[in-house]
Parts: sequence; structure tokens; C-alpha cells
Amino acid sequence: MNLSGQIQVADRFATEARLAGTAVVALAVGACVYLLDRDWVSTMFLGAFAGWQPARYAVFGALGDTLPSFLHAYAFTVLLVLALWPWPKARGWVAPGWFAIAAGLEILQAPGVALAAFGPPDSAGTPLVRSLALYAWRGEFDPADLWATALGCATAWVVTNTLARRLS
Amino acid sequence: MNTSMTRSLRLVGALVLSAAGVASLVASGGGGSGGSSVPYLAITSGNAFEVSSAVLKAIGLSLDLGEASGGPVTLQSDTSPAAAGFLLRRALRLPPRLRMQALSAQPMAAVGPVELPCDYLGTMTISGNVANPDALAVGDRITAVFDGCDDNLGYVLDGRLALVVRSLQGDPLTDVFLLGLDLTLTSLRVTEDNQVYSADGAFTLTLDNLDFPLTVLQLAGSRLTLTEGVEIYTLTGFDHRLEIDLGIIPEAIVAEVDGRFVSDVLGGKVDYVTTVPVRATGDNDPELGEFLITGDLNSTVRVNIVDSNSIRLDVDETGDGVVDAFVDTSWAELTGNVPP
Repeated sequence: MNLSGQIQVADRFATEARLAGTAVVALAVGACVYLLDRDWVSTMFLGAFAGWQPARYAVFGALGDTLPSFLHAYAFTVLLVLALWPWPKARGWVAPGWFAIAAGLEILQAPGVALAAFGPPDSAGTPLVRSLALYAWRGEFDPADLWATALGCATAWVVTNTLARRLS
Repeated sequence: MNTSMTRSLRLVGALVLSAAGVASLVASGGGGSGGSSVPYLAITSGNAFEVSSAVLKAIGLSLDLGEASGGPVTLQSDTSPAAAGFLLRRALRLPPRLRMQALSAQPMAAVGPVELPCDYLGTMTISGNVANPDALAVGDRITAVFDGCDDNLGYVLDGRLALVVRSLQGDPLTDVFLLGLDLTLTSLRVTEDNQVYSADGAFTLTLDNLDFPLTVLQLAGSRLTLTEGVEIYTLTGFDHRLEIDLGIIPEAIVAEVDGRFVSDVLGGKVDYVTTVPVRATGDNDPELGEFLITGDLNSTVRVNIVDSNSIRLDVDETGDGVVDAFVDTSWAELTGNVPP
């Protein structure tokens, strides 16, 4: 590889690393929303530590309601695009694919959908299905989360496509 | 590293990322705050009975849970069905060495949780942190993981209960004291006779025996999800107060409640409040009191306890203050003890 090629590769790696960095920062900020603003009891991964939660402060204000949905969608879309970088067609499907998955999970929380999908709370079978059923039963559907997820995926799509054009 | 290996690693990475993304989405509850998106339920003459019944059952379960998890707090009594009292008693009665180990009473000691057999069947694993292993103090934290724990007290416990002592006056080993506990329940399952219910959530339980024989049990919390059989209820922003006068035989009970009830089965939420404190004696059904349940567009059902045998539901479907329909029923029917 000539010098120009080496510079191009180094530039691509640096750009990918910066992009991955934005995803990591997004996930860290999302985690902060949960740690600072949310009730740990209703969060599965924090539930076991709920007794240790200090007083909550509305650090993120109303933004904290939907910010995690945006950040999560952005971060995972970016990371998946980076992982699938050698396959341009596949990475083109990441943003809409991730939105479909996240939107599907959100819609599971809508009133009546959990009942239709999983039946009554005690009827779920395997631990995996039961976890998903509990998520659906206990969660609350919020259209704002769908918008935030769509925005997160769209932002990631724009950013990663800009990168792809720049590197092509 | 050759290209095909790099590509394989990227594919594996993409799969792991996808799984992690879905898992974190589920574990975090979907990202949203779960605040207020559930719509208010329109109360009609057609669903007034169902709504009233579900709300009363949820309130009843929460009070059962309050008793089961905190009890008429009786650290001195082994027969009280009270998981928190049960846990506190057990923690305080551990042999000194185990107590120090389980509760991290020695700062900086490397300790692990201590597993103890329950009296009849099952185990409980205690861990925590206390200022003095011989007595309760504000700030003490104790966690128990119950595994089919049966102490022959008439109920079996599974799941996790964590408590933090928030307030304390007097000595809980006597009749006269006040004890405030922050309780966190994680899939705490109580099996009692033929009834099985489980709870997830957190609330503050205050047991005020300072005016003994008057006992006040108060549960207040931001969110509590209760599951009984095929039904699941969530209470948010609730404050339930039970006053029991043990100086009268049978004891006199006064209940006052306030909160929001969310039900996926009913497909919405309603607010509830006692407009007239509910009164009962001993194990009898309530004889006086009134609940107001408010749904969409101020539609209401007023649960009017006429006497211990009859209840009238006044339904205002339009929220104009005019009763549109009446439903005559009873406490037993509403709480599901007999078919309506």
C-alpha cells in the first residue's frame, strides 16, 4: 500500500473511532439519565440496587423522558453500521431495521398489546419469553419514544452516510 | 489478520451488538419514562363494577402486602405475618459472629451474604450494612433473598426484599415505637393459603405504635406492581393508611387511600381517593365509607358503602356531577369473594 493509501486507511480508522466514540458517549449520557433521573425500581437492570438509590433530581428535566430512546437508537445504529461497514447494502438496512425492532418493542407496551401477545401475566412460558412479557406488561407505551427512536436512527443514518460519502 | 477473519469478527460483533441492543432496551424498560402515556379510562355503567372491583382488589393487595412485608410490626412476636419484621428479627437474632459477617458490622471486613435455613423449609440469604448489629438504627440496610422460605407462619416467601431504616423512635422490641422503612420488593412472592401474589416496587412503610394500642400502618410510594393470578395492577403515587385500634374487641379499622391505578387489562388508568374514611371492625366487611374513582373526562364511579352487606356504585359517565346509573352490589362481590 502506498503512502496515500495508508493515509486513507488511517483517516478511515480515525473517523470510525470518533464515530464509535460518539456512540459510547451517547450510551453514557443515556445511563446518566437512568442513574440520576429515573426510579431504579422500575428499571430491570437497576432494580436490585433500588434500596441504594439516593434522592432523585430532575437533572435532565422533561428531556430525560425521551432522551434515552434517542441516544440508544443513535448509538446502536452507529455501532451496527460500523460493524457492517464492509457490506454497504447490509449497512443501508441498519437504520430502518433497528427502528423496526425498537418500535416493535415499544408497541408491545401499548395497552392491550401485551395481553394479545403474551396472554395473562402468569401464562408466559420460558424465562426469555417471561422477561419479554414482563417488559411488555410493566412498561408504558409512549408515542414520544417512537419519535425519539426514529430521530435517533435517522441521525445515525445521516452521520454514517456522510462518513461513507467522505471515504468513498 | 486476514480479511475473511476480520469480516467474520465484524459479523459476530454485529450479532452481539444486536443482542446487546435488544437486551438493554428491554432491561431499561424501553427508554421512556413511562410517565403519563397510558390514557385515562372512561368510566361507564358497563365497566363501573369491573373498575371498582379492580381498584379495591389492588388496594386490598397493597394493604395485605404492607402487612405481609411490615406487619403490625411486632419484632417481639414470631406469629405476625410480616416479612420485614421477620427479616429484622432474624437478622437481629443471628449468632453474633454470623451477624457481624452478614451485616458488615465490621467496617472494611470482606464479607459475603449469609444463607440461613428457614424454620420449616427453604432458605433466606441475608446481607446488608448496619451501624450496630445488636440494635436497629436509622440508615441500617438489610437485604434478604427468600427461596421458598417457610417458617411455619402460614405463608411462604420467595424473591427479594430490601429495607432501609428511615425513622425510628422508641424500641421496636416493645409495643410503643415508630418505625419507618423504605422497602424495595423485587419479585417478592407471597403464598398464603390458596392465595399467591407477587409484588415489584418500592414504598415507604411507616408503623406508628406511639399511641399504642392505636397502630397506624402507612404505605406510600411512587410505583408498585402487583400480580395475582392472571391479573396485574400497578399503583402509582399512592398513599394508603390503615389505622387499627387494638384497644377495642374486635379491633376497629379505619382506612384512607389515595393514588392512581393503572391496568393493562382494563386498558387505562383511573385515580382513586377515599372521600369518607372506610370503617370496619375485626374481620367483618366494611360498614361505612366512600371511594371516588375518577377516569377520563371526569367520569366517575362513587363506591358508597351503605352498610356491611351492601354497596352502591354511583356512576357519572359524563363528568357533569349527575349520577347516570346505579349498581347495587356488596363488598364480597366487589372483592371477588363471591360471583357477582
